[in-house]
Amino acid sequence: MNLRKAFLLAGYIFALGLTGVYLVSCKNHSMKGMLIFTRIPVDRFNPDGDGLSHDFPGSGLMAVKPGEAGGPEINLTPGFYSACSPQISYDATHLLFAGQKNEQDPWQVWEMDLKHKTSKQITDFKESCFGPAYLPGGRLVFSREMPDTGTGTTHTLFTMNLDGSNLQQITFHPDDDYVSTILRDGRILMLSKQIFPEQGEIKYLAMRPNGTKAQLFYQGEKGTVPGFRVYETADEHIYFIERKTGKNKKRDIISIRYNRPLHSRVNYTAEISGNFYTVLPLPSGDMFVSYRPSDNQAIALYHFSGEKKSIGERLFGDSKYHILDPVLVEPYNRPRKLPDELNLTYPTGLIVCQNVNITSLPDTASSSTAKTTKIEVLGLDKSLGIVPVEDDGSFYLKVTADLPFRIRALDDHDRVLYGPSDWIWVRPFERRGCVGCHEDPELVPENVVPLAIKTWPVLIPVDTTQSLKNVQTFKVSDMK
Amino acid sequence: MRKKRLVYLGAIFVVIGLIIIPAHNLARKHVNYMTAVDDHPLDCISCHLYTQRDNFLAKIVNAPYLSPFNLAVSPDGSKLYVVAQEGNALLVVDNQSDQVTDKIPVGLQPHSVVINRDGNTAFVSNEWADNVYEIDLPSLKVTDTLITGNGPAGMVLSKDEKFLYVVDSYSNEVSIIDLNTKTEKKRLVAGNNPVGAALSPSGDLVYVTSRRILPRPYRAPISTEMTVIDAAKQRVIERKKFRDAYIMENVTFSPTGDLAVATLIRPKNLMPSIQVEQGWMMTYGMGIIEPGKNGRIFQLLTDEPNAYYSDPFDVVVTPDGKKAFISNSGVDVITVIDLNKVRKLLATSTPEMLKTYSDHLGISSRYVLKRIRTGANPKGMVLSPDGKHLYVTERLEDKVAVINTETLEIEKQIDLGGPGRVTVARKGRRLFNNSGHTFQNQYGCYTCHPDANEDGVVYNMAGVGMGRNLTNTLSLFDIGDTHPYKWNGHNQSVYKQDGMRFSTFLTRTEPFDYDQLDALVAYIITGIKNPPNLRYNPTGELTEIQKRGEKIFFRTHTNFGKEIPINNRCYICHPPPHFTNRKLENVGTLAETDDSIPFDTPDLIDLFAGGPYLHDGRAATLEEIWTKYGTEDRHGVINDLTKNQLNDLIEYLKSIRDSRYYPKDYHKILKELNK
Repeated sequence: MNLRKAFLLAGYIFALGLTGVYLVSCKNHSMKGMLIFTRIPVDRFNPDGDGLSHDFPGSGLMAVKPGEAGGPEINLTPGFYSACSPQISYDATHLLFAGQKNEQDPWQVWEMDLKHKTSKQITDFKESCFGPAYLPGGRLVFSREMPDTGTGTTHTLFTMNLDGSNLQQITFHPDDDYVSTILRDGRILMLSKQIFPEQGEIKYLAMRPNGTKAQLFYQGEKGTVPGFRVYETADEHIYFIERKTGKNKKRDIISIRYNRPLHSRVNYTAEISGNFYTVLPLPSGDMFVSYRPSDNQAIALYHFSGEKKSIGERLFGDSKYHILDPVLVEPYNRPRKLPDELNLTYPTGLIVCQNVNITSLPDTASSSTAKTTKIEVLGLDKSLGIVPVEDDGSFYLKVTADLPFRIRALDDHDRVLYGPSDWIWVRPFERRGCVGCHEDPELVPENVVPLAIKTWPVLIPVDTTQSLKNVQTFKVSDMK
Repeated sequence: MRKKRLVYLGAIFVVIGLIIIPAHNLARKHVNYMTAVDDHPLDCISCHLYTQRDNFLAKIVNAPYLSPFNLAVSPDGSKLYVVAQEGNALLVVDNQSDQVTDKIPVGLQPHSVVINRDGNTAFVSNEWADNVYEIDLPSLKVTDTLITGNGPAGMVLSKDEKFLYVVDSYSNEVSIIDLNTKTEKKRLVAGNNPVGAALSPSGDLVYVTSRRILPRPYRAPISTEMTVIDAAKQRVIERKKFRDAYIMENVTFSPTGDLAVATLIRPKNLMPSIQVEQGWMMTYGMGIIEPGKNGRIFQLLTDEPNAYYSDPFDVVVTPDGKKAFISNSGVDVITVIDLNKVRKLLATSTPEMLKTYSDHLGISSRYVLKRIRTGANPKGMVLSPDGKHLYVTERLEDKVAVINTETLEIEKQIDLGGPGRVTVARKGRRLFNNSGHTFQNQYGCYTCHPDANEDGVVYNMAGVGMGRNLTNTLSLFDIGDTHPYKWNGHNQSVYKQDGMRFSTFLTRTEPFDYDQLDALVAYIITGIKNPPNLRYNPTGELTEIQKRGEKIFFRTHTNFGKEIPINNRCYICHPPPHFTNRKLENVGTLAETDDSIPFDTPDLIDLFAGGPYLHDGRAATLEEIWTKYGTEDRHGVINDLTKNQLNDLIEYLKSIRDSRYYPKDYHKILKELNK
């Protein structure tokens, strides 16, 4: 071999090497445009169960090309016993999911680098963590199982940096809370169900990422339960699955409008037999849906026409597996990063109610003309105090931060007129307002100065060893 | 030799380093101080070039925009007449070619245009010139100048076209111009800051809107006046009050006259500003009047529970009376209202229900047909004579949008020929006028600072507690040289004023990015001129009363010959040209609800247009500053003054105007007077 040939051969080998590197590199990038979903063995998951379905033992994350039915499926989590709830980062380079390395492990939150398909563990708790979602500013939010402290086991929302630092608890009520999505306005939409002292309805609450201003976003019709995951589209619609309770457990695709969520419900699949389990709206207006035509089939991935409200072709399915939670590996607009007004060194927060007599609740008192003259603030295990309301129905409280409480309305004879309310909390230095007590959520405050803010707030918990009269005295003396 | 060169080279690098590194550190310190953050880009141009005013550089970086504001259409629909507010011109647009065919120069800051029935005459109100131009349209010549009250704005012709009703927005009056004699026949008292006018279909009534609230006890619920004029008698016959509302910009009648519809804002300034959620700060809607005896007045919101449609400006009704269009200038949207559904709602609602609807965000779903997206800052609107097209000025786009009233789609945009480029200050003005940077679009800078002035109401900013630190909105006219900002003077620059804390406690959404902040600052520093004080000081020559008041303002001794301590003299804290020393002072105005702080000395330019006064707005008038709240001689020495002298002083205070409108030697005069 002469020198020339040797050079040519070396060049050839070098070019081959470059091509190989290039191809490998392409492969690393090839996740863009792919569809990732959760695959669950049919014998490990009962699709007709009543639970909130946030964890699926034995599940795994699979990736496929949407246009290639029957094409190769990539197992993204081969080293995991279970993996589910995939959430794509805004730039589509990473993926959050909940996973278990081994059957005995608690569920934890993991982040996968989609280029290299390597995963790093983010949370590390004794308790399980579920349903993560990205927050703007390099943070994430997830639901963590909390030990029973007398109110039953609850699931509470936490935020932290993506490197696992700066953990913050953001919900403080005895409810099961799960992250449904991050709204484009920057708030967390969470699925919440009261579990103490009695079981409550399941509803969506919207809340700022620092745990402030939690308020009702959507509650379904009686006899329906909204599903775990929600998708908001650019045209200000929100899609989710709603399940009927009772004997008929039909699951339908529902949309509501962001602008008026409580009164804009549209059922896309009322006329379609079979059940829907998850929905992924596409920019075209169509959707990818997890659908089971009949009870003896596995849940498979289908195309769904939003315009015609009809089920389309079956995209992916396997009789041995249910397919849930499809997500597309595509960049999407980051929600707004909301500012944080909290001062965590403050021990209290403030809450003002404009007029406790404004309520949409039916009268529960013996006399419908009875007027609320006092409110009682109820803690988890005791009364936190009785506070007189002003003549205009307003009250103004300074409440220990991050302490769950409920409010009920009393008349002059300490009879309960209505309530208690849902659980409320205020965060350190949060200032929060209510128009009324369990009022119509679409009602805005009247433009008047509430009498209650002309004085200092009543501290909650009040010293409950004092009589009501002393409570009033406290208010005046505090003012001076 | 070579070694020497290396030494020289090294020395040069050292010297350069010694200069650059400290200079960089100094620049970093300076930018950090001005912006109150430590990561604002070190970009000298963004602060020092784009904020230039009234000089050669300013002319280069800025551009002469047209800013179309209101418009009219010719009776045959062939031409549009567009008021270019910044261009000081009336633009004639050919509706076939979509071209501006003529540009007629008019007076300063033109506001509105009306066309007579034969289409031969246009009237253009010049808000900063206190007159109306009469224009002969065939020849495109200004044929007469009609003198009005102060700040002529909206106009309407009487049915017989013998009289022109001109709303004097600054002097709170309506001038009735006799078009035969071309003179003002009558001047009627209107509401506070009236602007829009409409004639009922029968020609019997003229409705006049107003923007600012009526006087009322401190912190009591607000209301705004709709003035009703009997067109035959040319007298005010009723002053209808819209409770809890203000900034009523415009009003129109349905063709049958069964309804009058006005745009309005329902602020929540009396509630503590603690959240935006659930309409806690601002809501927007329409005021509806059933004209005639026992006619009801009520308000309906056009917002939705999670979406607000801010700063409604104009309203028009189609010839069939079925649809109304409202321009929501803060969100670049035209809201389409189904008026028959409104009528149905009214027919089936009790007064209690209607009261609830005025604060109900869900009710709009019953009558809002569509939201049509437009270009930046839609303002005035007019329908084609056949009602098939709606023309909308896009003020900060220099365009007119043409909307098909059947399909409710934009058919085209007519380019009025403004500068093609968007300057930094223009970008800032768009941000200022847009509510997109507030949570759920609930309000923009413009909402509380209409026309960059102030909205005349006091907000409970709830700094720490909820009933504390009440804040009177401050004007943003020409504030470039009057830092620090905020009543507590905590903000050394507009950068800080509109930075992170602004988003945390006011807009409650993601803050402006630095490009946006730079643009907003550029607009606020360069683009907001004080209007001329034509009402109290039209020429710079003071009246005798004002001169007497001026002497009191600059006096050094009391009536009894006692020397006034230097720090208690008016002109020491309020020196010209801006009439502020830009320092924090305690003049005894601290209220029980205030934290114990001194206040930034406000400037006194165009005081007459403001009110209420003091940091918490508790003084309804200038007189009340001393007669009710400053009786201890800490806010200047006043107790020795006679009633007439106090009146003189106040007349002088009202005459103070922007120095740019003074004769060049004014400062010399002041200096002499001071001696």
